[in-house]
Amino acid sequence: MKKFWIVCCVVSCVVLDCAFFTNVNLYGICPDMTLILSVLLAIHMGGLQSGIITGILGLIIDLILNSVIGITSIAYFTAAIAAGACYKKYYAEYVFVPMAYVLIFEILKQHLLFLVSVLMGSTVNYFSALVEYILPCAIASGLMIVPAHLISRALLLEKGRTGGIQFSKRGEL
Amino acid sequence: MKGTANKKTIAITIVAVIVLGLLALITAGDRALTWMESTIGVIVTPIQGFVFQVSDGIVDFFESLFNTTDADVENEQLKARIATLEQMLSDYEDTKAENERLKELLDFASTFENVEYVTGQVIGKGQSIWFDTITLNVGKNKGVDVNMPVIAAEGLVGRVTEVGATWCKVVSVIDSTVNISVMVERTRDIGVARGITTIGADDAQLELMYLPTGNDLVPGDKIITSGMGSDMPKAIPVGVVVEVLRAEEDVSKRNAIIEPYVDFLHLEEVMIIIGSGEAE
Repeated sequence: MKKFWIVCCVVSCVVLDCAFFTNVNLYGICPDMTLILSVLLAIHMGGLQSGIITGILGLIIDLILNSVIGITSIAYFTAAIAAGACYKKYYAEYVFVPMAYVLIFEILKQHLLFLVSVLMGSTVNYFSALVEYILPCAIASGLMIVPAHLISRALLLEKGRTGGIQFSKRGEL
Repeated sequence: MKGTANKKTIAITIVAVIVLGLLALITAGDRALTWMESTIGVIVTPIQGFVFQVSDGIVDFFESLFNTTDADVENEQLKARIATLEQMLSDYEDTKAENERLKELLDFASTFENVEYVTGQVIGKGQSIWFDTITLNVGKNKGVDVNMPVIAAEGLVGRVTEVGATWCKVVSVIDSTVNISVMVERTRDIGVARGITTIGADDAQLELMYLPTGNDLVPGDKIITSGMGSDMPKAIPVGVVVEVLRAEEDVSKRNAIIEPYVDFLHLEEVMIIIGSGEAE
């Protein structure tokens, strides 16, 4: 059942990223659902597994939609590996933990894309891009993780026989 | 044991980042797709196309919510009463609108001599503001190849950068990494147009550079392709000058701002020129 929900989450995030948010956005500002997915899956499944899933997703998205293949994949993979540090940790319960990961890695991803576009000849002003696009995108992703975290907890969190979340003596889930 | 696992994860991460980084480096320029990329595209693009159309429908629905004139309200009441009929009408209007767009495309294409073209539908758009790419539902199966010009009824859209079996990726003229050789229609001065990364605005713009010193460019001047230096045919409309910036001393500076003729936000059908042609 967990695998079914994971597939549902993956499909939903890709649809939102590739079709919905490319049309519905505020001057291009929109959350990155696949990045959110990579962080949340890392918390529930472990960093490497999440990294492989979302890394491949990133490659497919890049192949179909983006100019440069690999950049978003790097962002999703590294975000998953980093968020894997929270796997089975009690503090992953708090939404601000995945939120921090999403904020940091969205900013990193946008900086990578900015760097590549500048290397390819773009002359965009950095501070204007940072204030008007990169940070708003990070905030949008950071906000979107609140409902996504609640949904992922309901669908993906493994519960004990009593129905509650099981903590070990070391404070692990 | 845990330390070994961590080391393994770090090693995998480093290797993955290096491999993906190299991939990004290789794919930053024009290139031919591998059979694997083409196959993935064949599988994914029909799904992507369907989802993109559904998403467009959702956008249209929300746009209609903001139409609050009396006629719209009355129209909404009528819609509720004759839902089935309205659905049929909607389908008819969609088809009619599509026919009109295609007719405009054909009319535009008829202004070129000896031109061969294929029409394609937009099934995807790039995700970020850094690069402006669109994905079309035609590929090698229709004779599309890399560097072929893509036009809409209003003017130049861009050029094909990657081609799969049933799909292709187009980098649009408003992409800030694309330079195209253009000409001022009135004065015949030749320059280079490049997209501007617009942050915090929906209006796409291009910058016009390298015009000869002493040019008498004025707002309203039409900019067309020059036909020089690439596979781009001559005289395809690109845009109109909206602002002239005087930089007489340094020709490398921006000469003007161009507003493209094509509405890149609402692009649905385009035409790929697979054989060269020139406007009458």
